[in-house]
Amino acid sequence: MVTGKSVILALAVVIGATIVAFLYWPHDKRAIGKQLTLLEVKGSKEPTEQPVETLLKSKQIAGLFRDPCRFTVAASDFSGEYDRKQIMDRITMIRSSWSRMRVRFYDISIDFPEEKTAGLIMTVRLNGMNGNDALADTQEVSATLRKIEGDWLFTSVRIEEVLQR
Amino acid sequence: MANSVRHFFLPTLNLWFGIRLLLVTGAAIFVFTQMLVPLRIEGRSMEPTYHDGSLNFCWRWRYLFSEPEHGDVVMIRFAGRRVMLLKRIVALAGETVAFREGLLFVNGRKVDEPYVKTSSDWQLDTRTVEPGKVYVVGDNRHVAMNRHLFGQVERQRIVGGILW
Repeated sequence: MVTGKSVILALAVVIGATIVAFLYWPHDKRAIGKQLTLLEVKGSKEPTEQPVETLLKSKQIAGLFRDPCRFTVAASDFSGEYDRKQIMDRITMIRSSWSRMRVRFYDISIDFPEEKTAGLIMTVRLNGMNGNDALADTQEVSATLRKIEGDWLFTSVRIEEVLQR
Repeated sequence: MANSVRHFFLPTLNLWFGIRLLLVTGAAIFVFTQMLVPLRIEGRSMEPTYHDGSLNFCWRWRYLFSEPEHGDVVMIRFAGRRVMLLKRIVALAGETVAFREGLLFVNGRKVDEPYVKTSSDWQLDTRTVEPGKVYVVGDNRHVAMNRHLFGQVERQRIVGGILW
């Protein structure tokens, strides 16, 4: 016999299963989100970080970029392609010049203009210390990612010019 | 009296209460996302007018029926509205802007800026603000010019004005 209680219980199970499926079902937006989280975590730095750790993190960050990846800085009309080794060296240099660093991404918008290609726009905020100097920078970044052998890798990164002197 | 106070803090959970709760929640969400967006100011680029860590609101309907003007303090968005810039408009489209020994010149005339309380040594050659853009600067000119974020920005990036 079907009672009111059993209907409510069945509904609760269906809703619960849907939520769990939505949260854990693998899809591309979530995969890109994971790459960004990794970039935030590995990009951030504490003053206690050892040089070996810096190198390891730089290598992990560089692994998120296609070899080569195009970088463009709109404000200085600069555009160039860098291979992974160059990206790693540049990241190591930047991270070494900051004693403490915090990387955060906001207002992330992802779209898929074609299969295995994603467009990304977000606000990147950097906070940190360089010696006794507090530093902060905010930029709008647009990027393109491609799904290569199951991983979403950055193929181009562009720092937009919001304020033009 | 005691009964009405008790009823205010412990209302009867009936349909009418549910409707009121929904209306109040909906109104609060609308007001604080579409009209008055709460914001916390970080950084010192607008000091002494606005201080690091202070709270304020972005009045999003500020330019619904009017256009930005000289001296307006506005919020400028990046990719979205979670992180925005707080700056003052100093010049409009078609006008020229320059800094000479820290003094602001718009259309070749020195601008009186009572909100700037510190001296500066900024030097910036004359440039013309492009159509559809406004020129914004922070009030804190004590910072070195290369560390201060300022320049012309698209009008569409202005999210609203600051409430006070």
